[in-house]
Amino acid sequence: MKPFVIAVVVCHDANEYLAATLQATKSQTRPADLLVVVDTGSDAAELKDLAPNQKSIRLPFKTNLKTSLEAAISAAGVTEGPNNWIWLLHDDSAPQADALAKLLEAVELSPSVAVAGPKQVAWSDHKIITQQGLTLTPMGDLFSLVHGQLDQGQHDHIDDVMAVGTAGALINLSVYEKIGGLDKKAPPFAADIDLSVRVRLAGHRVAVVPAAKVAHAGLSLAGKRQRRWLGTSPKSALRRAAIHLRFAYAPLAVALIFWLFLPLIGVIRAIWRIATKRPDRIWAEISAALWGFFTVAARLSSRSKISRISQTKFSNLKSLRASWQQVSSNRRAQLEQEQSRATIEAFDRGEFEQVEQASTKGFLASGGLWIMLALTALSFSFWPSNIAATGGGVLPLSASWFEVFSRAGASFQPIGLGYFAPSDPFVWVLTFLSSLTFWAPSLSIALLLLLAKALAFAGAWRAAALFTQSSLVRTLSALSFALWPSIINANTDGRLPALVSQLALPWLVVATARAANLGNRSLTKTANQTWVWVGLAGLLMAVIGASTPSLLPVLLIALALVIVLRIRRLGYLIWIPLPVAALSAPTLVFYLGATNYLGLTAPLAQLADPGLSQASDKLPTWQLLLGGEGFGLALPFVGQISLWLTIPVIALALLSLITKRFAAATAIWVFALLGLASAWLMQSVRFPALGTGSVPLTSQDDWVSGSTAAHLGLVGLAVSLLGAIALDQVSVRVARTWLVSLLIGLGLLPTAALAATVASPFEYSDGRVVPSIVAAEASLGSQLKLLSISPQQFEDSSLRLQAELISGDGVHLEDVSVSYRFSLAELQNPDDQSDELALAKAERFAETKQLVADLASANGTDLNAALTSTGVGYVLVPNGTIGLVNDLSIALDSVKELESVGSTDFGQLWRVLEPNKDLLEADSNTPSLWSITKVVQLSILLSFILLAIPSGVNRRAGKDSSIFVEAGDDN
Amino acid sequence: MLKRILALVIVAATAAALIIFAPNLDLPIAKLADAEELQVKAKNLSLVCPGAVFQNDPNNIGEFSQTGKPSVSRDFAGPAGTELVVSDDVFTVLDPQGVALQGSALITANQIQLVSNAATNGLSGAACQNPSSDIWLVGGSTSTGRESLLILRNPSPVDATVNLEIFGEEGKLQLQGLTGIAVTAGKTVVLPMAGLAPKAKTFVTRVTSKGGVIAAWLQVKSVRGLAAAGLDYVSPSIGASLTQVIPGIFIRGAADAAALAAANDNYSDLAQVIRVFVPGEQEANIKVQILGANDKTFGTVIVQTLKPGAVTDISISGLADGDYVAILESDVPVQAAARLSRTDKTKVPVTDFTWLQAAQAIDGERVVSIPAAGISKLSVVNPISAEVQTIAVAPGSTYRFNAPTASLFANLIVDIGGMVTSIPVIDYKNAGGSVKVSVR
Repeated sequence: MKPFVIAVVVCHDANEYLAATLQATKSQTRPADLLVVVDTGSDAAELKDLAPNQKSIRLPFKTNLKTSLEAAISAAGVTEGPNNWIWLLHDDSAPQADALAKLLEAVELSPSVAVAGPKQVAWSDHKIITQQGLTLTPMGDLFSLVHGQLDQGQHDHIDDVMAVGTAGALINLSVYEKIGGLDKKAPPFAADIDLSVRVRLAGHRVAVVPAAKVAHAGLSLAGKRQRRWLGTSPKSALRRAAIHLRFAYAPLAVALIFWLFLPLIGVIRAIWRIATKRPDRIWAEISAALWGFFTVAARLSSRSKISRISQTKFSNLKSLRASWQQVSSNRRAQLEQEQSRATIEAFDRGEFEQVEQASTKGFLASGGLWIMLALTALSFSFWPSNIAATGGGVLPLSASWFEVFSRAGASFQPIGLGYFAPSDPFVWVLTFLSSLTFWAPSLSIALLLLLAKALAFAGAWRAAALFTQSSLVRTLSALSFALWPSIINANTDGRLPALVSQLALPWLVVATARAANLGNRSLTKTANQTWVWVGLAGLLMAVIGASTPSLLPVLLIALALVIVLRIRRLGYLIWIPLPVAALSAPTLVFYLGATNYLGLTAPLAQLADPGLSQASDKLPTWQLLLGGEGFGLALPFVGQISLWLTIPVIALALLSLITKRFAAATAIWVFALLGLASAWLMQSVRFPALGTGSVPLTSQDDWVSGSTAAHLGLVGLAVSLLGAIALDQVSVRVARTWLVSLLIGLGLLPTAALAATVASPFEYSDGRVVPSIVAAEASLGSQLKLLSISPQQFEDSSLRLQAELISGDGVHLEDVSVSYRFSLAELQNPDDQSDELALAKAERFAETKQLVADLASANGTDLNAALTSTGVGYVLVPNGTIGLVNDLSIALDSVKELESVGSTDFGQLWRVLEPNKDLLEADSNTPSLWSITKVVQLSILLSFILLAIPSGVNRRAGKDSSIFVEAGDDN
Repeated sequence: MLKRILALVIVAATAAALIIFAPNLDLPIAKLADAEELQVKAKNLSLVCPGAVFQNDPNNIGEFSQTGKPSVSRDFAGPAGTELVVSDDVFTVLDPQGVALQGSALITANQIQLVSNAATNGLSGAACQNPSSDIWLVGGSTSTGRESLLILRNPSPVDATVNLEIFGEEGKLQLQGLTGIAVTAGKTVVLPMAGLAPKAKTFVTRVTSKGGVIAAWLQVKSVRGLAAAGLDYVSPSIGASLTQVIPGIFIRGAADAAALAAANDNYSDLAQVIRVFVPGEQEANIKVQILGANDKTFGTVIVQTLKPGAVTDISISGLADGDYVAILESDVPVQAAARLSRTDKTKVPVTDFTWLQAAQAIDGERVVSIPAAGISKLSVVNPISAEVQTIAVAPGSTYRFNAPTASLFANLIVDIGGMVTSIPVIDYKNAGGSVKVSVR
């Protein structure tokens, strides 16, 4: 009996493809007996020249595939018959002329075949196979057996498959009716597989006919159709399909457990997607998991239909599923494809030779480790004799890493009288830093101070490698940066944020250049590698932005310029500022909300250097260019000679402008000057100095100007790299020798000698910051505060008592808050006189001040009430000017509410005889350390850390099953 | 190449422009939390008198016991709401609301005691002092026949630990037993200086206390041969300054003294002495002017360079009987006191002495309570105009300086039967009022 074929073309707003599709369908060598065009588009498709055996029906816009198909069948008016077939075509699938003939041939030869699919080829290039049979991976994801391969007949042996795509599939009408047709509950991409699987379960075969070819544009998968067609993005749709199939075909118990854990599975898969550098899939994983979780009833309802028609078990189809080996080889193939594409692109840009010629020595081979060791030896005075450094801007961290972590991203801070504001982003940097020595958090800072120069060298070496092949030039350039005055000064002054920032800077340059494919040897071949560099750059920018927020504008300008240069990599580069945005947003929002008392300059408060406030000298601009403050030996007339030792590098940097690479040099100079300008701006800005843990300043005005160290570090890096360009481009051997020896003799060697003579201001201790007795009581849960009173006499002999309320086990570096410095005036004297909460708090400040005054004058006033309400348990007079401290000590000795404990490492201590009992015995019921901000910040940071961890494809071979969308650059 | 040179020129010009034209901006962000100036009630003013004179206890060798009873005169004029509490020679003005203005106008007190027995013979007098934690005592001697007892009184409710520093002619004395002297709350400790610094003719004692505050005097007496000959208290010095004024050098019996000194070694120290201590590490060039009160008393001028960190006794000889004041000027801050000796050969040689402390400037209201016994005279000097006055005041009265226009300096000299003592005219007040406090 001659087969009767109804061709059904389902058309949905793809008019430019539809015409070709219809034309191809009509001009088959073996034409279909009946052609039904189902139009569900928003505008009626233009259908002309319909022959008598050609019908067109118009259905509403939202009609799904099943309804469309069944409407077409009923419109065709054909009843069931064993040899009646539906040839289902999409509007973007144009069959080749003999496609139907070949399909019919196949089903005639094997009568058990109920569904026959064609070989789908690319719309634009019929030599590329886009799909030839579908199956599922062992993980249950959709898997296309062949994808994106050049058709050389290598897959023409494939016959039996688990499923075929519906585009161009020839489906036996009676089998279709028997199994109940397409499942309308199944999401779009699951419908194809679901249909084929049910056909298989009903005892029929599903086969691919390689000889029949259909050019399929794959509009849905490529995301080119209107979103409403899939109801979601293609990536989510794929995942939804996998989830649906799992619900439909897994044993019931497994399906229920799967449902229970689905949200968790979604999160875990999202994390795994990040680790495998597919951050574009995060949302798809989570949204699809939630979709599956909440539409579980619809998913499970498909099961009854399946069990009704099943003649065999789903598990029997196991042999048709993709093996791990298939999955991994598919993935390798994808990667190879991507690499070859990148190589071709590099070839197009003319960078290929540069990339391949690299035979230069690496960091280790060029003696980098030895130089790092030598630089560490120069810092011998920073050798940590104990775990925690104190001095300059450095305080010990808490003894437990979790304490440090609990302060990161917190919105409540136990400082002063209890302070509600986002904690400094810098605390995240401290958390990260201290996690390197999690058993003794402070040790990481002590080691950083010791290794600063060596680490700066290592980073700058890699940055210089972007510009030169010569390992000598790289080493010299890196040394100029490692010995740049701003780094040495930040190191000896203990300006921890500025130091961290400067150490991270060269790495940020490297990571961004790699992510943007800029510079020597930086050809990043795959998306996988690019994501690693994006992750790294994001984290480094977060580190710098959190440590020295004032440098952030300059960095963002630089990033914007890089994006302009490499606009095609926008999709990657745009993510680099995400972590820093997440870290900085809460404080910025806080400052913006504080304009009522900070004034219009409120957003500028964001620029303030985190950590302890340290006074910085205002320098003339020329000195900023030369690296900032001098150090070490001073001579008559010339002053500190360190001031002049950077001149050779700067001269080289100027020289780079007349070399062949003057364009790059000019661009880098722009950043150097930008850094210089921002340094000048920064030192013109003043911030309040007094806050948590701040040391009493010597001058009477409590302001500190911004620190320029990090900005000058940027200038130093730019100038060092420019020096590398200059040396790299000088080809005359003699000239080069001279330049190198001048640089070493007049710049590097004297600076190294001076750097070695700089004394360390740090004292090393076991990390306690309050007397042991106070720390011990705090560890037992006491919530009493330590009142520290420092008397301070100014030049005009006026006296001031600076009091600080210290909670718990004292002020550690992570307790220091910049915004507290800005808010202090407001907290003590609220602007808004109607805010009762604020007034109550201000009242407590006033009470504390009165308490301090009464204590210091020892006038016999009864202080018990004030001591109870302020919750003071101990009074400390820190070691300081002998006379002043003595007077105050005498006064406190004669206060009857106090009892002298004696002198401690931190000063004279008194105990309150009758402290507030409630607070003393309050078991530490600290507020939860988690907040929404913290969770968001932490998840973004962890995502970027996962991204930044390289995941070698070969090592992880076979664990991946992502196959459908390998969107390279366009995610 | 042109492009390259252009790039070089532009970069260099921009850098130069930045360096030359960058203005000196100053942009403060936010506002400061001002240190608040708080009005604090001053501690209650409490004046502590030394009590009766200490003598070796005849029953317990090495112990001291008090003899006789001093005569205390006081003057209290507190506003409503204040109350004077007297207990054991401690005068405390309770002022719960802090309404009183502290100073001698509120409370002033002093004591004199004439002791005349085999062991002690002389007139002692002292102003009652406001306890403190840092006291300098300029005066005293531990050479043969001279006794100096350090009297430490702790009126506070807290135990005090006292440390001493003693400076001699050659600088600070390195001695044992100067630290950790416990003075229990409410108790008095008497320390013979001879035990700490034996055979020291000249010294200055610094008393510092931790814990409670204390009051301190040196009770000094002379024994010439077997005759007790002189008694007084060394009161706290007012502190170091460039100018020190010592009124009250009322010389009587200068001729007798010279005769006695010539005849007997025991009387060699009858000359008037000015004791100067130069704290710090820089030597002092001083000029001492002795001014007489009238045309008949010619003064003298002494110019000397003094060792830093050390104590020097400057002997003033050749002055005729009369009323004098000493004005000392120095190029570094110094502390000074004078020992005034009295001699009367007509009555079986009677000698007495008193330690006159450099006086505190009177530039406001100042009240002096005059002892009920003896002849009292105020020696007043204005060092600017060099006007020296001797004002006789009636016993048992109250003398007021009513805010003089120029700074005056005064000491009260009390004379009973040829015995002499001096009482500082001093104003005690506790710091109170405004304290600057910042809390963070």
